[in-house]
Amino acid sequence: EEITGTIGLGGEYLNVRGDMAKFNEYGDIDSGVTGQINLDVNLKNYYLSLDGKNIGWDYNKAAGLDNQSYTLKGGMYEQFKYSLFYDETPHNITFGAKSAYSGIGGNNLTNDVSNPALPLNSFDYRTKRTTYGGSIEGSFNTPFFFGAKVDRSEVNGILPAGTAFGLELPMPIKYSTDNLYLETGYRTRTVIFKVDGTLSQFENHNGPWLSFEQPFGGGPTNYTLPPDNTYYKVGGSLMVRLPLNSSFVARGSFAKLENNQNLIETGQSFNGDVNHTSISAALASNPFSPLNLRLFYNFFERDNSSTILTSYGGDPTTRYDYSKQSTGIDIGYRLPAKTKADAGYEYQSVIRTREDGTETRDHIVYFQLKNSFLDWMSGKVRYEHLIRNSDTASPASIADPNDRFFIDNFRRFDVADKTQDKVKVGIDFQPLNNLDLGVEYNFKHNSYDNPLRDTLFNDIDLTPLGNSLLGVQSDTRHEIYLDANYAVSIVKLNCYFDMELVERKMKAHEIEAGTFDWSSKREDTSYTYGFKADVDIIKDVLTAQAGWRYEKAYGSNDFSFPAAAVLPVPVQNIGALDNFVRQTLTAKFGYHVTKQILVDFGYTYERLKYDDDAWRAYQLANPDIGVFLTGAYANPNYEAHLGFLNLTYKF
Amino acid sequence: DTCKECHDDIFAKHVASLHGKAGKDCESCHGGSADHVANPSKTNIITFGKGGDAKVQNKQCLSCHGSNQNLMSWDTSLHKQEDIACVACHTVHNLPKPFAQEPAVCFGCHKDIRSLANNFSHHPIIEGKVKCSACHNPHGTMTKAMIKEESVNQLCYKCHSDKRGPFVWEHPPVAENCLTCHNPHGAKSGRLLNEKMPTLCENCHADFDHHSVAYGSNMGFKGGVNKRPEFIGRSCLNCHGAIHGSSAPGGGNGNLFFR
Repeated sequence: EEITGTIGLGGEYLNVRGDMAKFNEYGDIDSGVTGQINLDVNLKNYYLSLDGKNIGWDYNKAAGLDNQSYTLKGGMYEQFKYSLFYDETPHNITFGAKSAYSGIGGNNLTNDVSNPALPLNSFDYRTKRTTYGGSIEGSFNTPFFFGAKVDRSEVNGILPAGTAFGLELPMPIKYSTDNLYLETGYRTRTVIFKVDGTLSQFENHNGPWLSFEQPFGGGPTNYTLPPDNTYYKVGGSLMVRLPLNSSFVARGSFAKLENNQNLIETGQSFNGDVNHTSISAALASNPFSPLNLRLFYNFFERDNSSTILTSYGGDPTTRYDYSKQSTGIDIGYRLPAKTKADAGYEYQSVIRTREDGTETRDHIVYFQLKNSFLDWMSGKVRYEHLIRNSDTASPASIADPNDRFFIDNFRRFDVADKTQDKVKVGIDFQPLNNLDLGVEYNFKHNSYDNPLRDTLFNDIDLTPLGNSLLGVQSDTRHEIYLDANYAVSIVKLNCYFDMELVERKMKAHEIEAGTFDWSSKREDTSYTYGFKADVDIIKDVLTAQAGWRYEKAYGSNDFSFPAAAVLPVPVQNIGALDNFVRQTLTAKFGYHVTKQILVDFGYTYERLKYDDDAWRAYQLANPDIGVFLTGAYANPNYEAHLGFLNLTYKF
Repeated sequence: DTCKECHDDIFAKHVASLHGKAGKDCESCHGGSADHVANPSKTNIITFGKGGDAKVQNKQCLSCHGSNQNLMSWDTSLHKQEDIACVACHTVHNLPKPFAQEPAVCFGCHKDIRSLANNFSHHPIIEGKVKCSACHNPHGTMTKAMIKEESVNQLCYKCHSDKRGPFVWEHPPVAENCLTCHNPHGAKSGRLLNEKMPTLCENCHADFDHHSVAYGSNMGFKGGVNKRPEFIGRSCLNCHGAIHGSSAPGGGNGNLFFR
């Protein structure tokens, strides 16, 4: 019989200049009292553990912390186990947003926000998700098992929603989702079989519509809020271990998502009904020592059987369906000198109800080599190549001239013909017993201009377009990651460097300022470096930790226009595209007063500076272009100083 | 007790660990020890950790855990294919509970994900509110990236059930794959977007009308008569807020995701 655990109590002092919401995006760090608890009870066959995190009081809000979390787990070894859990997760977006609307937080926004005489109301864009529930699993030391989990997730708050003419609405959030998951089955070393079922019910407690007053005397109208829905899913899985070191796994599932909506503006009703079917199978085999094989097949279908409204606001509604099949083989072979070679091929086909991409077919091959012959070095290199061929609807079948032009000249990148190359190289060194070094380089290139498109793969005769195809032309990504860990005597050091460079080229067809094609080259660069040091100043008595982290990201978008293009307004290149610098400094000391009592204290500094051409000189009211904003996501800059002191008692 | 004579520090940790409390002894994992006792060497006993054969190590773990239904796809999983040893993630002796320490253990290999999870916009992974295992089963599933549902959207909708619909008006790439626009691990652009608007949207909508216009830096809030609502602030979302789906009437409203 044994009872162990820790209880912690501490205090924090925070000073933030700038955006408290971005600093605390998913947390609730503020001046106040914090605590945590951990308890482990072990009896002969029974165990129980309790974890409580972020228990505390926010002095400025005069309320409990918003990110508390509690978990209770228990059970009997090889018999059953259970859990109860409660978790709060805030998502803070912007504090002190402003709008002339009345009724913010509810589903009826009144006032004409274009009236400059109206006072502005202040509110916070934030949500808080609270999830609680429990689970139980058991087998009672038999081959039969069962499991059940039930939980409820509630989300409350306000989020921004944009609507016609650039009107930003404070959208009320009051959601709940109730989930029930059940599974049961039979398991042995050679066979595992299970069936499972899910029921999930989403409810929007603000109803299906947000009523709001349009600016410039436009009168009231409605914004659709997420509709209630019910989701059911049943599935079955089978695993069989076969002779020749082989295993076969298969799974099938069927899911139904449905709702009923009364469309208040027209009085029509809509029955949502979307079905998902999946079938998967895989066979893995290791028939003789050096060889590994894996064969797989996956089928997935989304079948939308929702109501089609022949005229809803004047337009007929459509339904989106797709089905996806993929099959492939992976082969691995162990070579001498601790080398393993892997290769594989996959074919994937997706059929969609989309005129611009009725079917895509992917062919993927890869090769990989891994080696760990030297005790002090291991490495891996991988190359992957993808060819995607796509079909469109026959242009002749499309009546709308705009759609016809689109099909003739344009491929959306997610369904476009493309070739993709990926390279990954990673090496880990241990040149000294206490020094680890890691280097990794990743390269990825997509080219959406497949010259073989019309000659080899399309089922229909498209006009050969060569390099004139509109849309994304190519994108390239380079990633570099470096790590070093060094431990000597009482010191452990870690430093790292991450870098990512992305370039994307696109071409678009302008008709607003004239008829011509323009192109652009977007570049994004991000890098991060930092170090951490842990020092046992006095072993088991006094420890110190320090860390520094520097992140920088910047981007640009350069435009090119044909010489003959006449632009009514010269277009200046974008020089600040999601630019930011974030610096974080941490320092912490831990002092063991006794073996049971630990005091730790420290300081954290963090600073964020963000800049972007689209956010610079942000204005709420822009009546010159009819846009009325509320400040959502604007000005995330902050500078924060945090001091903390904790006392932990271990028993 | 024989093992304790030489490995007293490890023995003490084992007794305090979950495996020890569940009644497992040293030979349960390390195999028969007679040869090793007679001739202490790393070559005549099953050892775990760096440099060992993952296949041999994992066989020991699976002798007990191989019938766990959560591991039923292990044999066909990517981690198995990559020769990842169970002990690469699960610390059996040095921690009282052998559960993988997320996300640190995952970031040890997936450095690109570590970088994304620390980016300007990210899911609360580093804050400890979303675990890698909330979305992925590292022991294998039947789907790519070992996600815990049959499709990406079914996975995302488990938490984001407000995006499930069904909607009267669907945005096809949204209905097919959330990853077309979002990177769930993190992104340089806000709201986990793969790219900043308006270029994210123009990647698909570059054919005509206001969505194929070249929006330059002179069209921002300071742009005077050049200021464009499609560029400033949240860009396309200033107007098309219902981009995940709408049930408002058509006629240039719900069908264009205005409301």
